[in-house]
Amino acid sequence: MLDRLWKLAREMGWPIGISLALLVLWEVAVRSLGIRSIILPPPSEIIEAVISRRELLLAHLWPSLYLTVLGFALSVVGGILVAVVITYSSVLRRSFYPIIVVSQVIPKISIAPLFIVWFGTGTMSSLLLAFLIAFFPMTINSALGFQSIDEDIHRMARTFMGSPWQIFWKIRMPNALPYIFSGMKISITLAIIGVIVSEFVASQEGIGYLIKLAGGLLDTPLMMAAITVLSISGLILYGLIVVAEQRSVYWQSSSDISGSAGG
Amino acid sequence: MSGVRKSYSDLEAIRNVSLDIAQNEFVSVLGPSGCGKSTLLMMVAGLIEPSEGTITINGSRVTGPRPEIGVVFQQPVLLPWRTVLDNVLFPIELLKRPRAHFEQRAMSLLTMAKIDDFANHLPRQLSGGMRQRASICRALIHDPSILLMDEPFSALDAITRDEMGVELLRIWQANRKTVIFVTHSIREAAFLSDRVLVMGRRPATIIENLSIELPRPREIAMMESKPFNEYVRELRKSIEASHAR
Repeated sequence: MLDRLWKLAREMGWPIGISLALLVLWEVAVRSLGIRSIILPPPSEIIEAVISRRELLLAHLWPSLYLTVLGFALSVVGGILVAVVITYSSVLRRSFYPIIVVSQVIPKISIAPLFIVWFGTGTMSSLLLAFLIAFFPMTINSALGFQSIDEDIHRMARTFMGSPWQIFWKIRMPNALPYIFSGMKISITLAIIGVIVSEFVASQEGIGYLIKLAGGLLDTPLMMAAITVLSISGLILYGLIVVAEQRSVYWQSSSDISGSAGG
Repeated sequence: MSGVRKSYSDLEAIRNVSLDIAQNEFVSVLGPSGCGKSTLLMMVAGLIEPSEGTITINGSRVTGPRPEIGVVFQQPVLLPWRTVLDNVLFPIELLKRPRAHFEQRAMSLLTMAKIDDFANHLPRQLSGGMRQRASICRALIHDPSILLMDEPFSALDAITRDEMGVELLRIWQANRKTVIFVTHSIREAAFLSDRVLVMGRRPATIIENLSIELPRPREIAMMESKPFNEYVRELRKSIEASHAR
């Protein structure tokens, strides 16, 4: 345990050290060059803004986070369901899979104003945009996971008289888990983007709205504070998925741990 | 068991193979890679349907996978997310039999295969030979009367391979099964079997049916004995004859 902590500290030491050094450089540069904080506030001022205006920040953070998590959850459920259907129906796979892949080319952000027209400026637009953006990588990764089972394993299960139902739950599902988690890691970041963009376009609350508002008021420290709070939240959400992944995909993560410990 | 009889005819794969295998007999099917011997085995397992002819086990025709068969594949094909014990019990789950009744049996199989210490390990923590042993335990867990083995040791190194042969015979001696063992190793076939069937190249058909009358239990030292090498020579001759044609 202590070994692992030490190893983690050694691995994280460099990136953390360099980040701190950059922050110090930023602080010193802004102060010594006399750059006005309306252009670029120093890190200390941003931290100060985070603390002093925490109530305002939190009030706008919660709706954004709520919609992000909800949109993400919907995309996970929807993506997995569509992936299952695509896996088992070759007709649907051949007709829809190419469409799904090609539709990836559409910058989905550009649909945001259209959603406002259709669903109004409320939470529905944000939710749907988050869902739509996060849905595609979820579907494609899960479908890949369900379809990538080893032919030998499939044959083995059939010789022991496994039913299609058993093969799905006992083989395809666990086999797809690592793929589902990599889909989730992409989707969570995309869900955040979806919500923020939608709040940029038209909304009365949310961290995206606050960033835009602060920009309009030329309150750069508040803007940077909102960005900081948003980034930290995104990092936490991503971290939660990584933790869940390491717990559920134990047969792979343990290989990484013991593999690197051996080296 | 009345025996397996099959005749199958196809221009590309297997032509008119007919054979009988007695109960508890250890039969090897020997032939060059890609001659269709695995196809033959998969037809017995009920995974592939013959385009002509029939396969009969215990008087009933094979139409699909059946519970009295256990299969060992070329690769161990263990599920990486399950422990060794859970992998061995996997057929029990699929066959919807009560797991608790078979845990004891699983442990004694693992003990027999000398991997009981690894029952709660994941497959990737085991060596290739140990994984294949676990897959043999899995094939035996539901006490099938027929064990089908598709080049089970071909992915192992030569030393492990000889050891595994001895191990397999020991396990077989302890719980007798009909074994159909597909291999492309002449020595392996001669060492393990009661009878060796040699398959020629495409279209595959059985060109030799040789009984191996070496005493049991067999030991590695026998591979140096004169009668053993006589058998090996005879098998090699018939394989070469099929190539010459």
